[in-house]
This record gives sequence, structure tokens and C-alpha cells, in this order.
Amino acid sequence: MIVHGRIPQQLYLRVRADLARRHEFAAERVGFLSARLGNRAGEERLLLFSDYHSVPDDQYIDDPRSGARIDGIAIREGMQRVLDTGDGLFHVHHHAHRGKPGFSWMDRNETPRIVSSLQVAGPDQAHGMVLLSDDFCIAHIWLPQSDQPVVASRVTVVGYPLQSFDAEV
Amino acid sequence: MKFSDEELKEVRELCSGAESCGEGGVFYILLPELNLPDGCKPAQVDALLCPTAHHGYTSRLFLAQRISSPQSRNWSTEARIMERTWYAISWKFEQPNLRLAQILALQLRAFR
Amino acid sequence: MVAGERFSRQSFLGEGAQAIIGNSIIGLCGQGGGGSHIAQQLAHVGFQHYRIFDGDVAEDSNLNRLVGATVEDCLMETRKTDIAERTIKRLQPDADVKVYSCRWQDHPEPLRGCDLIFGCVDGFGERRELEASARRYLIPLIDIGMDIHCVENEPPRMAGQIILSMPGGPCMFCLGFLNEQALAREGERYGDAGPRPQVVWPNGVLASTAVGIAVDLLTDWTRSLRSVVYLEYDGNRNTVKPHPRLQYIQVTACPHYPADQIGDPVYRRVA
Repeated sequence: MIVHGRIPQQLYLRVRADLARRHEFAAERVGFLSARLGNRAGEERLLLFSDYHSVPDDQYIDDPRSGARIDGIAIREGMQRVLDTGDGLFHVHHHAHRGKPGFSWMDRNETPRIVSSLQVAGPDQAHGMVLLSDDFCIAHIWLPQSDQPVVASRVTVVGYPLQSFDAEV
Repeated sequence: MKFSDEELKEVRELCSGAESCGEGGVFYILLPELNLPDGCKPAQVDALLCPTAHHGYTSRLFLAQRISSPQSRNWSTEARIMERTWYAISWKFEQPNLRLAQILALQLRAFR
Repeated sequence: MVAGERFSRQSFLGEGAQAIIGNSIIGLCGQGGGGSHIAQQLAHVGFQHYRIFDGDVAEDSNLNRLVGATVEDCLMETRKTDIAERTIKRLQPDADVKVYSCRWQDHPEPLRGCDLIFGCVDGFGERRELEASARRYLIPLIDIGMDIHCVENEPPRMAGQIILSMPGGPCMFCLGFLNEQALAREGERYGDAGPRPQVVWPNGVLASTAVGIAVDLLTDWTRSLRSVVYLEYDGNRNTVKPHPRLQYIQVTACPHYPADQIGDPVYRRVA
């Protein structure tokens, strides 16, 4: 299963700018990207990111064990957005280093629970998580009716220049 | 051009599954399994109505396949819209201030 | 992708550029005079992944401009896509070349998987369709085309364009290249088109410019390609320059292809 992610450059820069803002107590910020599946009948499925939703400051939980933890309201709002738009939703955050990022233990254990909730709201769309480093981007995608993620083989930032991040680096 | 909820409701009364979409700045209405006039084969076909100017026509009714109708028509157009291939005949009429349902009715008149 | 001696003369493109070129998936819609030039040049540059669409076969009247075609191809009615594959493989034997001897509309799924598309199609209607699909699946599209107009009592006028349609940026409608009037005129001429004048050298200019834009878009070697690309070619004066219309266009977000219309089509219930 090959999945390519594509995100317009203006949206990508908006995400980066928002995630770079400092939070009162959270070490990292998180947000949600809306996305739609494309080319479902093709060899390469496409995940096309269309919008970004910042998590308000007051929807973070002060948890020293975690870089960033969001509360139930943030998750319920995400689920509502899935219901309202029919789009998939991707949890996104940033690790401050260069090179290909890796999901932390917390990411691998907590974020799938968020994805499960999103799948309840929107079983026909893809949901998942996107992780940025200073110069890279990866995406884990739960396709419709799937309980295990696939890794996007390529994520492309569509703009000038065209930037592609290949999972197999 | 915007169409009122009333006009859209009138279209739904003609085709219960009617749905709207847009591409390239153009508004379309998808009419799944639209009933065609008597004598057409097949009797029902998916259709796509463009109620505004489209490539020299004041409106256009695209069908998912070329159909046979009581009067032979010139199937002049094959177009790809909304990631599907559609076919349309050469059929023009004036449509000043017509409602959506009237446009659809006039388009269907070509197949009588 | 091994650079070595083969691409040593294009090391100025930057470290990692050859790998980017080698890993990019390129769609080519149309293998006529313009598309055949592009295919050849892409192979020289080192592109490795191609998806090529054209439903035609080589004919005698193509030989004045169809790059890679031979007299034998015309006798054998070789498919244009097969000519393109042969041209590419003679330079890149290990290239992954997928050919589709049909219109892209008849088999659209492979095209959607491309990182970049070259549109070398005929007519405004074809361009509208290709751009709509490229926008929907967030694929940059480089369009080229030329025409020769015969004018009474004057020399013919040769003109062309190279347009980079970048998702999110101005589309061909925004640029004024596509418009309802041009599409209507083309619709009226349906069936009366006849053979259009075509020659090899303007295709070469347009194709080379397009390939140059593609390489810059992918490698960022000039670090200057940051805005709209709409170039007009004047074949009588032998110039390629930004279209004058650009000074009047101020599009921050394309209104014809908004962000909520990406992906496989979505319909909304009416009323």
C-alpha cells in the first residue's frame, strides 16, 4: 500500500508558524490538519491536506511527563469537525531537531487513541498523525476501517520549490 | 451565480438524489439516475447539469453515456468534469431568468 | 541514483539535486511535437520515473517535428508512447517508464501519482480538463503550446506559452489564458479544426524552457523561482518573456480551485 501525502506550501508554513509559538507550560504545541483521500482506486493513494486548526492555549493539560497534552474538549472539537466537514483529521506536532523525526513513546501510545475517536466520527476518511522536524515531515495514516497505520512513503510540500520527504531515506 | 434554496428544492423534486459540486469556478448539479423522456434508451442515466455558461452554451446537460432518443441528436461533446467523462449534445436555447428546474426541463426537451 | 561522470556537468544544480531528479515521478500528457522534445530532454537530465499518455501513432505528417520518430515508425504506425519509451530507454536503460496509449482521461489513476505533470495537449478544453485534475490532486502542471496564425497580407504569426500552474496559485483562468470566450470559440469550431501548422523549432524552445522550469522547481538551483510563471513565446521575434498580463494579476488565492475542492470529488446534497 503506497500512500503519498501532499500539502500546499502556504498551509505547511502556516502549520510551522503556529507550532513554533511558545506555550505557557507545554513544551510543544499541537494542531490538527484536515485531509482528504484521493485516488482511492489507484496504485498510489493520496492524502491531500487542506486546512489547519490550531489547538487553543486553554485546551492543553499541564502534564510534565508529556511534551504536549490536549484535553477532551480539543478532541471533541476535532470529532465535530470531522462530522461537519467529512474530512479526515491528522494530529500534528514538531520535534526540534534536523533530519527525519521519530514518534516518541508518548506519541505512539497516546495519539492512536485520538485517532480511534476520529475514526468513530469519520469512518470513511483517513486519520492519523503528522510529525515535523526542523527540515522533515512524516505521516502515519490510518486508512478507513484500518486499525494499523501505514507510513506515507512520500510527503510533498507543493510550492516553490517542490519539496518531497521520502520515508525511505 | 447563486441559486436559491427554493430553486434547488425544485430540482430535488425532479431528481431526489440531486447534489451540488463545483470545479474550475463552475457550479454543477449531479443528477443521479435522472429519468429521461419516453422513448430514450436507457430510460435513466446519471446526468450533470451546468446551469450557467459553459463553452459557448448558456447551460448544458451532460450525460454519463450517449443515449438514443426519439430524435437523433448530434453528440458534439465529450468532457471530463469532476473526474468523470460526460457527453453532451449540441442543443442551444435562450434562458433569460429561468429557474433551475426550467433549465433542466428545457434541456430534457431535446431528448423527446 | 548514481551521479558519477554521467551528470558531472550538471553538478551546479546542487548537492542532492540528481537524487531529487531521479526520484521524481513525471507525468507527460501528449507526445506530439512538444511532448516528445520534453521526454528526450528529461532523459538527458536524468529523470527516472515517467508516466506517458498519448493515444496516437506516428504518421508521415509528424516527421517534421516528432522527436525520436523515424520513417519506419510511420510505416509501422508505431505508437507515440512507444517512441517516447524508446527515446528515454536509450539514455536511461533502467528508467521506470509506464506508457498509456490512450488519453490520460481514459486512465487517470497513474497520472494522479505524479509529482509534476507536463501538459502538451491540444486545445483550451483539454487544458481546462488537465488543470482541473492537477489542481484537485495538488500536482504542479507545466503547460506548453504554440500556434501559427495566418494573417491576410502579412507573414504568419507564431506564438506560444509556457505556464506553471501551481496549486494554490493563479490558475490558467486567473491568468486569462483560459476563459469562457476562448472555450466557446473552440467549441464552435468543433469538427472544423483541421490540421494545424506545426514545426519543430518553436516546440524545442517551449520544451527546453519547460524542462528548465521543472528542474529549477525540483532542485531550487537558482533560488529565484518564487512566483507565477507565465511566459509568452513570440516566434517571429524569437523571444520568450513574462506575459504582459502578469503585471495586472494580483491573485493571492485562486478562486477557481479552492482548498475545499481537493481530493476525490465530493458532492453536497441540494436543499
